[in-house]
Amino acid sequence: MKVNDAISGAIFLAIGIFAFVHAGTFRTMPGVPFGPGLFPRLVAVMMGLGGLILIFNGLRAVRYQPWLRLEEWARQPRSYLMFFACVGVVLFYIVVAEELGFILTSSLVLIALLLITRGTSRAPSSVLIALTVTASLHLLFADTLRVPLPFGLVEGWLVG
Amino acid sequence: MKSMRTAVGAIAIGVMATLTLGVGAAAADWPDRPITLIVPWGVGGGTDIVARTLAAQMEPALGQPVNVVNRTGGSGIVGHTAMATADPDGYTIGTINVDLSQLVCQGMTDLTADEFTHIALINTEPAAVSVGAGSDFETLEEALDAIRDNPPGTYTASGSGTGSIYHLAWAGLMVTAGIDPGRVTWVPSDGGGPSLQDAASGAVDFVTPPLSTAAPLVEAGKTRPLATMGSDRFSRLPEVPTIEEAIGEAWTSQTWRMIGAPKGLPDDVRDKLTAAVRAAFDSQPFTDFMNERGFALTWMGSEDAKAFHASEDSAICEVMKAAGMI
Amino acid sequence: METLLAAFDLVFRFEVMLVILGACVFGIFAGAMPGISATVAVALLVPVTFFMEPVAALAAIATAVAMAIFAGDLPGALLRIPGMPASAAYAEEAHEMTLKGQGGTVLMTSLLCSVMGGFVGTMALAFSAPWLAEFALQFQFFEYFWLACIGLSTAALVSASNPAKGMISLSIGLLLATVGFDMISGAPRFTFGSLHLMEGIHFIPVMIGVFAVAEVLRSLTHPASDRREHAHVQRIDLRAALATIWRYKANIGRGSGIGTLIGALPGAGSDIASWVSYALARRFSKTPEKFGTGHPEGIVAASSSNNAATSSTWVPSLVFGIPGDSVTAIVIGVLFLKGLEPGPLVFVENAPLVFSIFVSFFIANLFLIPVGYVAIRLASQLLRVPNTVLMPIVLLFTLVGAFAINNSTMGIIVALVGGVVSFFMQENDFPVAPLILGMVIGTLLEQNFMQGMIAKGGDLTAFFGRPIAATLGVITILIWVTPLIAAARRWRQMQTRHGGPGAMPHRNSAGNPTAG
Repeated sequence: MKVNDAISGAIFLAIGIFAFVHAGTFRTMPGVPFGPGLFPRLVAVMMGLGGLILIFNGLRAVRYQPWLRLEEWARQPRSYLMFFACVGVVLFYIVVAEELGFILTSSLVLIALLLITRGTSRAPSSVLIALTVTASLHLLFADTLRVPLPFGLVEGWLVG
Repeated sequence: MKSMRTAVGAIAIGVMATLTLGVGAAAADWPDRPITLIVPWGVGGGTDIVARTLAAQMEPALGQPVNVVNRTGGSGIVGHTAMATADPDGYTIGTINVDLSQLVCQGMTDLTADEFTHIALINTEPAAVSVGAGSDFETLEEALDAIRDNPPGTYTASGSGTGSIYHLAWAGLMVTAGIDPGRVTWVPSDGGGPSLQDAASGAVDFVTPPLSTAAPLVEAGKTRPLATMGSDRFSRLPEVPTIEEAIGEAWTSQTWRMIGAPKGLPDDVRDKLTAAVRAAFDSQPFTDFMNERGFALTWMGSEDAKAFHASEDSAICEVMKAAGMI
Repeated sequence: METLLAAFDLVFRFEVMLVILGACVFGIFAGAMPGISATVAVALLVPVTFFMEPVAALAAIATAVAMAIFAGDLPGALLRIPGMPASAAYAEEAHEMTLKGQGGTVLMTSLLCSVMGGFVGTMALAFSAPWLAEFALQFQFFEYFWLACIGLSTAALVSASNPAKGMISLSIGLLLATVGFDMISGAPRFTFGSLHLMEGIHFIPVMIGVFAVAEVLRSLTHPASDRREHAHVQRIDLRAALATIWRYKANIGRGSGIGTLIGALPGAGSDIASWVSYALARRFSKTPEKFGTGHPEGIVAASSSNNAATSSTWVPSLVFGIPGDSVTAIVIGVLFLKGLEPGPLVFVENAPLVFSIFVSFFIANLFLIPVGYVAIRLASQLLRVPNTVLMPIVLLFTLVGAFAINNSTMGIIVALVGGVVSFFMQENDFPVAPLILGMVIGTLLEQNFMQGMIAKGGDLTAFFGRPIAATLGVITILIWVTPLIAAARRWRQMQTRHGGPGAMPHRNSAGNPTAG
C-alpha cells in the first residue's frame, strides 16, 4: 500500500501548517518572555519543509511512481480482514472493558481474534489459548505488578 | 482428586456468597477488594514516595491491598480529576496536593475543596530560600537589598514550574518585602531537585525548594540556605533562620499533602479510611521514613483538612493576585 | 582494603544472594514487558524492601534495573518490539540478525556487553563518584541543550537513506512530546480542551504502538516471507558472540564511557546514552554502510552503554541527593529509610555499606550471565509459535502494557493510533526510530533551550558562553555539517556524472530535461 510521496508529503505539509497556526494561539504567562509556541513552531516548520521536499520528489517521479501501488498482500481481501480485525478488537476493548471487566473482555477479544487468524475449525484450542493467556495476564499484571485492570463481573466472583 | 473437589467447592461457595450479598452490599463489609490510591504525579516524586510508604502501612488496618496508581499529566489536573470523578464507594482514593488550589485559581480546573471528601492531611513542607555556594549573598537581607538596588532582570530565581507553589512562595516573599516580583526573572524548572542543581551550577541565583530536599547539597557545601518559610526552624539545619527572623516581616509558605476521596463518600467508609490512615501515620516504618527524609508529620482529621483546603483555595488566590501571577 | 572486606562480608550471605536471584527474575519479566518500565519495577519493589536489611534492599533494586535494561532487548531482537526505550535504538538492527537466524547469538553478545558495561559503570561509581558528581554539577541549561542536540543528530544517522522522511518522522516525535501541559509557561498545548490530551502523550504507549501494534498488523497482513524461515531456530553461538565482542572492543570501551558520563547527569539517562552510543558507533565505524542490515557493531556499543548508565545514575543521588532519574529518586527514599543519608560524606561515614552496594552491583552483573542465558533460551522458543497464535497474544499484551504506564485508557488509544500510523509510515519507507527519538529527547531539548533563554534574557551567545557548552556546541555543529558537506559533494558528483540526481533508478535520464 504505497502512495506517491507527493500525497504523504501533502499530508505532512498540512499537519505542519496546522500545527504552526495552532501554536500561535497558546496562552503565554505574564513574565515569560518566550511563548510556549516557539518550539512547536520550529518543529512545524521542519515538518512542513520535509513535506515540501516529498511533494517535490513525488511530483517529479509521478511518471514512474503511480499514485497508489498495491503490493501482493494489499490485493488480498484476507489482509484487510486481518487489519480491521486487529483494529476492531482493540476498539471493542477500549469501549467495553470498563463495563465488563478485564477477564471477560480479554477472553472475548482473544477468542475472536484467534478464530479469525486460525480459522473456526480449531476453535477448541483457540478458546483454551485465550483463557490461559487471559489468566496469565491477570496474574502477571493485576496480581503481581498491581496494575488496576478494569474490574468487572468475573473479577467480582473471584473476589467473593 | 480430593483437593480438586475442595477447590470446586470453595469456588462454588464463593460464587454463591457473592450472588447472595450482591455487589452493592452495605458499607459494613467494606473493603472486600483492593483499594486504588491515585497519585497525580510520577513514580519516584515526593508525593509518590510518601503515598507508597503510607499505602503499605494502611494495608494491615484495612485487610486489603492498597495499590498506588500514578495518573500523571496536566500539572496534576488529570490525576485529581480521575480521583474526584470516580465512584464514591471507598475503592478509589487519592492524594490532594497544594498545587490544585493554584490551578483552581488560574481557572484551569473547577476542583475546589467542595469536590472532595477529605480523609486526612498528613504532611506540610515549608519552602525555603537557598543560593549556590558561589553566590555573594550570606543573608536574605543582603539579597533583598541587591534585588532592590539593581535593575529588573539582574537576578533569576527558580524552584519549579511557572505558577507552581515554589513560584508562589517566592513571589509572596517579594510582595512581603515590598519588592515588585517582576524584578527577578523566574526560570521554570522541572521541580525542587533540578532547581537546586541549577543553583549549585550557578545557572540561577535563588531557589525555593524545602530544606529537607536541599540538606544533602547544603552539607556538601554546594548550596547555602538563607531562610526557611516555615513558622519554625528546620531541625536538621537549626542555624537557618525563619523569614521573620531574617527580615522582620512575617511570610510563611508551605506545600501540603492530603488523602482524599470523591465527594459523596458514605460517612462510615470515610471514618474507616481516616482510621486506617491514622494507623499508618502512627506506624513505625512511616514515621521513621518521614523523619529520615525530613518530611514534617502534620495531622489533620477529616473536618479540619476540609476547612484547611477551603481556606487555602482563597488564601493562595489572594497571594497570586497580589503578585500579579494571574 | 578493610572496608572492602567488610563490604564482602555484608554481601556474601545466603539471604542477599537469594534476593539478588529473585530480583534478576523479576527484572527479566518487567524489562521484557513493553509498558512496565524499570521505574515501575523498582516502585513495586519498594514496599518489599521495607522488610529487608539495607544491603539486600539496595542490591534488589540495582539487580532488577540492570536485568530489566538487558531484558528490553529480548522482545526487541526476537519480535522487533523493544521492551524498554533504551532498547529502541537498536531493536530493528537486532531483529535483522534474528531473521538471519542469529538472534540467540546477538542476544548473547548484547548480554555480555551489558555485563561489561555494568562493570565499567560500577567501577566508575566506586572509584570516581565524587569527581563524576562534580562534573555533573557543571552542567547548566546550555550544556544539556547541546547534549540533546547531539542526541537528535542520531536521527540523521538512522535515516540516512531518506533524510526528508527521517526529518518528518523526527518532527512527529518532537511535536507529540509537546502535547499536554507546558512546564515552562503552565499553558496547555495541543489539548483542544480534552482532559485526555491534557494527560500528555506518554512515549511508552507511542513506542508500543509504533513497534508492537504495527508489527502485529504487518505480520498478520503480509504473507509469511521466506526470510522468517530462518528465524524458527535461534542457536546461541558463544564463540561467534565472543568474536564479535573482541572485534568491536573499542566500541564497548566507548559505549561504556559515554554511558557512564551521560548516566551521571541528572535528567539524562540510559535511553539517551543508548542512542548517542549507537550513533557514534556508526559515525566512527569503518563499515557504516552495514548499519541497519543486521550488523552487531552498534548493538555492542549501545547495549554496553545503557547498562553502564544504570550504575552511574546513582552518582548524583549518592553524592548530592539529586536523583539522576525516576529510579534513583525512589532509591534516595530507600537510602534514607535505611539510615543512609546521601551526601559527600556518605563514602566516609558509611563506607562498608556504600562499598557493599558496589559489590552487590558486581554480583548482580555476574548473575546476569546465567539468568540472562536461560532467558534467551526460553524467549527464543517464542519464534516457534506460529504467527497466527503469537500475534493475537502480543496484541493483548500491548493493550495491557499501554494501559499500565499511566493506568489510563488513553494509553491504549495512543498505542492503537500510533500503530496504524506507524504501519502506513513503514509501508511508505518512513523510518520510525526517529519518531521515538524525538519523543525521548524533545522535552530535554525544549526545556533547557527555554530555561537558558529565559535566564539570559534571550541572549543566544550564552549557548557558547561556557567552556563545556562551547565544546559541545562545536561538536554538535561538526556532526551536523560534515555529512551535509559530504552529501553536497556526492550530489554534485552525481549531477556531473548522470546529469541528474540518481534517486530514481528506473528512470530514463533523457526523459526528464527539467531535472536539476
